[in-house]
Amino acid sequence: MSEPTTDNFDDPALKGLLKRASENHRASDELRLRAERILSGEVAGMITQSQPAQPQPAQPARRSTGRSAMLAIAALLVFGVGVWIANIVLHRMDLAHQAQYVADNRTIIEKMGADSLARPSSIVSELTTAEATQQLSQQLTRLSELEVRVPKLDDVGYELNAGSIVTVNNARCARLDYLSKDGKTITVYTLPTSAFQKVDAGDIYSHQTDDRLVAGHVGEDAVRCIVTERNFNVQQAFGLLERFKR
Amino acid sequence: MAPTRDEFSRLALEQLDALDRFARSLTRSGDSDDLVQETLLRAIKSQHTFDLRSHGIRSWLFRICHNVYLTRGKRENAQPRAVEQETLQSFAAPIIQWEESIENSELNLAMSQLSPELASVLTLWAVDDLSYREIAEVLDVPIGTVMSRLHRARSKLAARLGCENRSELSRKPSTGMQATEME
Repeated sequence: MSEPTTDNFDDPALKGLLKRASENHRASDELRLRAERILSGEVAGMITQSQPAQPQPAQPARRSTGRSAMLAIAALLVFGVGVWIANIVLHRMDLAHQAQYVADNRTIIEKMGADSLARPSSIVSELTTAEATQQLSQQLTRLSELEVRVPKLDDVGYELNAGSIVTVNNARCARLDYLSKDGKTITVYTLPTSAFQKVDAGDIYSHQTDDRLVAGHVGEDAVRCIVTERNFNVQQAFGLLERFKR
Repeated sequence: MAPTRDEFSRLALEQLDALDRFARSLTRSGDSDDLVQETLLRAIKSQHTFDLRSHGIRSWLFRICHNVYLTRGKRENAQPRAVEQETLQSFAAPIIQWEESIENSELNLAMSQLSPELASVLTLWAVDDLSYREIAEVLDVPIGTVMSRLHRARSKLAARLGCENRSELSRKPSTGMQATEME
């Protein structure tokens, strides 16, 4: 059996065509802004959200089909540029909003990160049977006066270890601790919105401390935060957080 | 030696256009910005593993981007759909008469109609000037697969652009080396 040659074949004509077609390719201003923020560490755990497709630069028409067609293209261009600019402005506002959220609430966010590393002092239950889980949910809901769901995370390798009531920033909140077989932890807090400096229902955020990832969602009734290993996938963290919402 | 944080950021930003182009060759649904964003987030987390002397940052970012693309499940469950067998003869470079008059819009349209596997190889090879070995490392496939994909990409592109592919007329019966690819 012979090995195929690995000499790099060349096709200058095709390369020339493809390079010509892509020489004007530039990342959009919006993407560049996002990249700069990520690389500067300004937004440590940006949340990936699907953005509407950016309007593409109009391809050059092969043949002119008359003045009316040109006018129509010009109108479309103006519209496209308008939409594009609006997207950039809206996205900048979104990024700024999230950064402001983390700045406003940095103290409590970092306290949760630190608290999650310590064993809670007032454990309500360490029982993790199905009945006990249901009971734990009711007890934590009663004691915290916030609705606390206690879902399973077995499918991602974490088992419920304990539920407790703790105080963070003088706010009474429910804490759930999940543990993986290799000793990694997921801690979920349900806190009253009053514990935060400034929050709006529907806000989501993520923040990385020195060694923890904190991701949260502001609901109508409470703020639910998941605290886990710093290198935990942000999207997965938000996916898990969904299970704790009402 | 790992670059400093500032140096790393500068180097990564310099590759943004190329990274965006590569991400667009992989995605077809307009979410290439998210792919680039997640690539940069992972790159930041792994920057301590990046060695400026032994890797080019462009290939390194491309590799991360491709891994992110795969793990995000964009590639239809990563299940092998068909096992394609290419022969050594079919790796022989097809002789294609590319017409210089082909317009960029035609070419971009034809590229967009290629599968991500083919479009990405073609982009890395033609626009980014990566060698077969570098492309194989980026995509984590054997070099034979890179050659096979490049061959098919060129042939399909030629067919879509109406360019003459003389090798189609002279292809020999196949024997010998086989490259296996999960597509």
